[in-house]
Amino acid sequence: MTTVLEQVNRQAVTDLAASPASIEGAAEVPALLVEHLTKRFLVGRKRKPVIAVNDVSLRIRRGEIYGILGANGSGKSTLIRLFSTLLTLDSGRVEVFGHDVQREEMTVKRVINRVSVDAAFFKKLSPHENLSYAARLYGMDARPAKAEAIRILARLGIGESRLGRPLEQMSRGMQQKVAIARALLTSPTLLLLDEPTTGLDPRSKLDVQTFIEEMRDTHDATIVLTTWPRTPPTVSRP
Amino acid sequence: MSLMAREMKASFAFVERNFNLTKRYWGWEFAWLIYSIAGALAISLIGRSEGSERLLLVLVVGAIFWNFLSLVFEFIAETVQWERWEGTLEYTFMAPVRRYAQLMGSAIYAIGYGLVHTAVVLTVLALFFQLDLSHANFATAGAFILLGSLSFMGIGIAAAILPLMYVERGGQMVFVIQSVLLLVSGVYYPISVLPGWMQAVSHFSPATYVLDGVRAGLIEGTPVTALFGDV
Repeated sequence: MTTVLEQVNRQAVTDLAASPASIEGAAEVPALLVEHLTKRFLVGRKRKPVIAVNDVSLRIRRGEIYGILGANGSGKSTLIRLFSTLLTLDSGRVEVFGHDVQREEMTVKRVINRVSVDAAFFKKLSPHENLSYAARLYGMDARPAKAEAIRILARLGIGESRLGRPLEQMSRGMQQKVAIARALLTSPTLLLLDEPTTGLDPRSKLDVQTFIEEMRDTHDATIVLTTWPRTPPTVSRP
Repeated sequence: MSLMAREMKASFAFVERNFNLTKRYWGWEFAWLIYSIAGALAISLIGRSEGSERLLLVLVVGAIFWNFLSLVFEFIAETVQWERWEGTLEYTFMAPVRRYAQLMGSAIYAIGYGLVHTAVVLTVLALFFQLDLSHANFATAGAFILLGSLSFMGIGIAAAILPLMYVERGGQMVFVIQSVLLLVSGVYYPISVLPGWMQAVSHFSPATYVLDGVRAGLIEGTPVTALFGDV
């Protein structure tokens, strides 16, 4: 079984291999190293095996923004979950900055963060309360974390006055910006973005894209981004 | 930062988060408190209708302290289930936090929340029935509440794993465990009225010993030293 994702990754590996820092020749520890990764799920009453990720290999260098393209159901989110230590590998190997995701799970968790397509929050809590929770989970002090959250959210176009209201009162796009701010708050060196701009308007998408590039440049972050191949919208009048 | 300090800070994240959720759901918290008071009063009034002060006290203690133990159990056992409903389970599991720190934070908040909740219900019932607690041994009651909390934390932590192992049925299993504990632990009646096999099961429930101990302390003023068997 060959997935669209697998094909895309093969292309990505080929591109990398052609670059000066080839897979064999690289002396530096890659930000993300994936070798022959496979993941199956047992689905339904008959527990029929379904291959979600099939023999994927890739190598991402520090500081890269790496895109993974694939249609819905092609295994992009599964791949991100495998990198995030949320799923166990069936076979293969994944290393984040040289740390094995299974043997050194806690070390890996400290250097990664993820934004998923659905903004996973306690919707009754405010952005401030959700971000304070996130900061404590990552061992940060609440006060400096709050100041940093205000700065990041302001950069993404959300003012301080909105931080006290429940998230359920915010639009989908605003919630997604708060999710991005939450991920950036912990200064991850590997940021996993699973369709992060879904639901955002064009201007917000641009805000996020610019901020991600800024993050890469100022925080030495490596970014893995999943998305789907887009086609131009059909319009009856330009 | 040392591992212990990091895990303590992580545990506090769950305490603070649960406190914030309680604040945000204050309307439901108030409604639940009214329901708990009404339930405890309704059951205890059976004792008043029978004209038995002792039965009244037995039912009051059963209603109040089962309320406490079940709150602690529910809070801990539903930790995972709750996050699944909210959609935050993956985020929490991806964070660099050990599961014991998460469960410890949930347990600390559960006990604090349960104590406040129970204190309000106890105060209302004491005023309503003009309970005479002048002979009560509060140290005995306190010791058994502490022991009961620890025991129910253990059962709750074990039950919290069920929704992880059985995604569809785990929550339902937790509910069944709580129901069985209510039935066999002698909450409103002595376990001697249960069929023999149920009495055997009741010996495995920590609530059986907690309720016996609290009743002995509050109703008869028995010191904890006389109840080492139950401890």
